[in-house]
Amino acid sequence: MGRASLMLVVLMTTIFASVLVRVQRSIGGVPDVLIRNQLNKEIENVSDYVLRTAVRNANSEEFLNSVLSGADVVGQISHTQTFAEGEKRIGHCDILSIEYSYAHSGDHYKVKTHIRGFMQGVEVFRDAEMAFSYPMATLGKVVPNVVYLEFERLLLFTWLTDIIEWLTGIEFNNRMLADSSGNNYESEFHGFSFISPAAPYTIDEDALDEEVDSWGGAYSKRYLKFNGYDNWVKVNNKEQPGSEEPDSLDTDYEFSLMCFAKIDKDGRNSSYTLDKWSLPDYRKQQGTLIWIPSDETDVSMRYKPAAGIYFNTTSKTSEIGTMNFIVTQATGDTLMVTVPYTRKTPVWKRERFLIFFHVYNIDPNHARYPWNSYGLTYEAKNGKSVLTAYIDGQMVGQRIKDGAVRAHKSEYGMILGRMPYPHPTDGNIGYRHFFGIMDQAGMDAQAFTPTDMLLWHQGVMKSTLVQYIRD
Amino acid sequence: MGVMLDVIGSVIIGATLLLMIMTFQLQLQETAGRIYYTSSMIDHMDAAARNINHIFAMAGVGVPSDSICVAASSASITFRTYWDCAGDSLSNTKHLIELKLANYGYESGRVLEIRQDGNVIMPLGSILYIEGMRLNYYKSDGTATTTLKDIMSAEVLLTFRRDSPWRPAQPLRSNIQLKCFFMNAYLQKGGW
Repeated sequence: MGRASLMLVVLMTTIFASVLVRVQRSIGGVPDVLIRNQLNKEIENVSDYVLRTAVRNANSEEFLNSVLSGADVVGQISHTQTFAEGEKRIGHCDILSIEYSYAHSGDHYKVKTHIRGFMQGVEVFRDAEMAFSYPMATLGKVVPNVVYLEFERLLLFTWLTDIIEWLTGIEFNNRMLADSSGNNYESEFHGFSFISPAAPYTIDEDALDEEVDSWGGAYSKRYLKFNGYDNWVKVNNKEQPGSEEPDSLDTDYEFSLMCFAKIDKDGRNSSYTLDKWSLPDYRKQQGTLIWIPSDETDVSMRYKPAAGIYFNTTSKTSEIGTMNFIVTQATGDTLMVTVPYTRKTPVWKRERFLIFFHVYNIDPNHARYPWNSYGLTYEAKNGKSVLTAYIDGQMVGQRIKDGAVRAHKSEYGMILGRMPYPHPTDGNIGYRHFFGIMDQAGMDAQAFTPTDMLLWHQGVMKSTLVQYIRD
Repeated sequence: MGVMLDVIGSVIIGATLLLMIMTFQLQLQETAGRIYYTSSMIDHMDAAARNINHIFAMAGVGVPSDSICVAASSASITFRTYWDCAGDSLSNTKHLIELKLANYGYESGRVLEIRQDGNVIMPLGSILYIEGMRLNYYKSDGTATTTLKDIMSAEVLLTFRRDSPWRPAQPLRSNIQLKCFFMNAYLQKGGW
């Protein structure tokens, strides 16, 4: 009897214990659910409040001055405020950090907040961000780090300021272009332009492809015009040859060159201009995009650039030609990629003037055609020298040579829109100019990977301003 | 005899007490289970609503407000955005986001899938215990529309179904109705 009673007690106790455990589990989970719900609501409100405050800060002059110490916003700037646990507490929530990002101006910014909520052992996190007129391209953007010319400066009446400078001796620097890489390389526009060589983008509302007009009128406001006979840009070298500085404008063991351009499909025919009056037919000598001279003092090296990208006309009546990507090594040997290329864009329009004359003006129809990008990378390592050519972010050719030989040193800076040209009959015409428009030209100290080059291309093409909120 | 009656009496009393305690415990367990079941379901619906609302809010980032929607029906919607919903960050690539019900024959019911460029966004893009979904669309002025370029908000009617742990044959159905706005489309459009 005693044993039976004992067994019964043990059995019942086991059943009760299991029931109690299940009850505890069920009941115990309920407060967590309720607390998480309550905490989610609280953190949502705190996050909204912190985001609003951060937006107000980001747009205030006092805050900008305190962050930048009175300097202008140049390039991309990021400023993060980080707080220790409990330092900035609202209710059950801690502000962990607030991130402010600016792109080129105090008006293009975004803020990002990180909040942590904690109550009775339950922890939740919430991120929120808001952007105002922020360029999409800066997100994960790949940009050249040595020199980057975006041609945003409006160079008005350069010929007039030249005259005033000559008369007064006062320097206006009206031909200087800004380098947005942060290295402040001096770049100067050469040649004649009546009003301004930097022209504003126009948006073509009827463009069939949204890629065509996505760039125009957005973040990049201007491009640079090249008239095909005397316009070019010189980027002065400020580092010594062989400099180990990471931002050195030197073609050494690895580097990348790139630019966006629209090459006029017809080339410059004979015409009349205000500065030179009568000009011959230049259609056979057009298309120089980037040219980094190797040694200007050595005649044998005059036509061998340290690196260069240019279009070569095969016939002056045809849009078809070749796109050339070239690197000269320190030994004097050249690596070159040449690919067939067809020019498609009517950039300049030849118009009749006073019955007998022809002048050239920018053809607004060029806005209907997409920009094209041209890139070159050179890498000499692991016993090989590799030249890779890109058009529109896609690899179009590669030359590999045994031996890791650096490119020829470049003491003379970088030239856009002009290269030496041995004209077969006319000894006075010594240069092949670019006839078209150009934007986003630059150089990087590293050899871009195919992914980098594509990201750069896409980043520029998608550089529309965006405003968004994520809360 | 007297002893026998005492023993039988005490056994009856003891058994009655034990039955009372067991009944009480089982009722307590059932009540606790129901509370947990209900609260977890509310939590699930709350999270689902928050997630759907967030996805709709990020529609059309970087895209003109009249070309956000690619397809919209009463059962599904597909829209464009430069917001990477999988990584929850802005990207340089335009994405296609699709919300639709999928039936994999699960006992728990159908699944509301949120797909980005054809891939289910994990872990938040697979919402369980769904029985039905209906979508109605509205213009920026609040009037109903079926024209893709005019859609600026959507009314989402969701029916959740979950089998009761105690009576599987009598599942609990909960309906929620939420109005989701293309918040970023409003922001880009401006003038409101």
